Amino acid sequence: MSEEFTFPNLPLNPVRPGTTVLVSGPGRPASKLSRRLTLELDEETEGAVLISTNTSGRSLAREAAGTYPDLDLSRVGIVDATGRGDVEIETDARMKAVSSTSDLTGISINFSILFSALGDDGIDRVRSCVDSLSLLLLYTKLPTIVRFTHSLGGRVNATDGFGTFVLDPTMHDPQVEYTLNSVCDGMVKVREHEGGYQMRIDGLVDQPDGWQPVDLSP
Amino acid sequence: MESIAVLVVDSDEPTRSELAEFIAGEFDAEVRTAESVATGSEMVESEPPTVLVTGYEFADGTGLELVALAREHNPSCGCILYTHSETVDTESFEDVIVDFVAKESANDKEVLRGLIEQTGIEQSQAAHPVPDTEQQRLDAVERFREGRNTEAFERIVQLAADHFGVDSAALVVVRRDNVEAIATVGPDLVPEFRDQSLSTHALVADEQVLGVEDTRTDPRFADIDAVQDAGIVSYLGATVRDQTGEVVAVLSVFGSEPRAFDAGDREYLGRLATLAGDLIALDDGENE
Repeated sequence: MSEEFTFPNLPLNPVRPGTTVLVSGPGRPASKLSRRLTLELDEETEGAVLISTNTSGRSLAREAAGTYPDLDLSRVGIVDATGRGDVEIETDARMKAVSSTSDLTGISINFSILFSALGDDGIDRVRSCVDSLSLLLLYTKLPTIVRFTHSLGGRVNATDGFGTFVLDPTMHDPQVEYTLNSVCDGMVKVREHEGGYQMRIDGLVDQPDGWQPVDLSP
Repeated sequence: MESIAVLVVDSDEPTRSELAEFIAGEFDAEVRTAESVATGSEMVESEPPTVLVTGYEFADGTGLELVALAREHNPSCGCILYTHSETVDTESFEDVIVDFVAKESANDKEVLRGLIEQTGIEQSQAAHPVPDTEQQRLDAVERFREGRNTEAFERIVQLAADHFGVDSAALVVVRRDNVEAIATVGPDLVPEFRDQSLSTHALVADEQVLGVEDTRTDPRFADIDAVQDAGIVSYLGATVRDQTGEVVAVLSVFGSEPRAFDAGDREYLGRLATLAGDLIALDDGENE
């Protein structure tokens, strides 16, 4: 088995390869946290694939370059699942787009293609992020989203990667979060607290107990 | 561990045979092959596979047509597109969801092996949650199904139906892809496939007993035709464990009206389910 994934700037201890987590919290902080978990990577060995349903590929590539100026974007793949196909930008990041947010088959295929493209370049440790399941749930029913989450998690597992799935629980029946959490290995909850943010980890071994302050300012 | 049934559909020979040989060498698998969508469809219908590995472009259709058909006959079927083509028209198949492996990409066979393991054994394309100790659970379920006298379980199911005043109750086992009633009272409302079953969710509940007040408003079941068409509105299910601690069955009561189940309801059904587990332990002890 390959080495654990590390998160030196977050209150999260290393996790074993093949791990998937549900990042549960209000839209903006949950998105920010999942991007940090995904893009603050070890550039010696790792790459990242992001699926974005609310931010276009162009905006996400620009945002990643602005937030992480030293990040080698050739190690990053983006699936624009907004349905706008807004991926025209001069960037080293690899871009794919689907014509509709409801096209889960297209999203899953493009996710696999980007995974594979990184592998062709010798990058076989991949962090991934789906932001967000909540938006996908507006277009399709829960069992289909369970299959989608399972399927992407299966690839994360098969390739010893690390995967995050963002959910805003305030948008759904509590059973939705419960069910999707049971498909992932663990859950990271994020919340606003006294003008800042806190996160809490459930279901992963050897992690900090209780709510921990987290800086989501970048 | 059960062997998996893999169907390889590819128009190219020797690719087809080489792939089949590779899979047979890596897994305890029964591997069949087809060269077209038409032949593949016949095989899917006659014997639905656990895993479908298919190309995309065929003279008589596309691999996604086969995926849709395979899921119709086995909703838990793992489906992998293995193809040179990166241009896949998904417009009519937006919710089938597949894994994709580019032929002749780096480590393509290794990735394929990993994905067959994930989809075929770990059930990573299931539309339902899967318990952490799934393989041990499935082995325990098969032990439970072998030559079991069901008379005592029928009495327990009757007690459950009488207590809750419902027409239909059952003791069911949840197998890899389908659900099977061991004992029933009243109309058999147990759905055929695992992803349609309320008991599937009882397997991953935090507590022994899962209650559903109204399936019509519960996002897990509201869109499942098999549940709604059967008229299952409320549900209470309690897991039955064998002496190894694995869940081998779910004692279920089905109501036709919305119903809130209180702590006493849950405790009663839980006790009946525990009694069923004690009977299994007793039976297994006598057979040793």
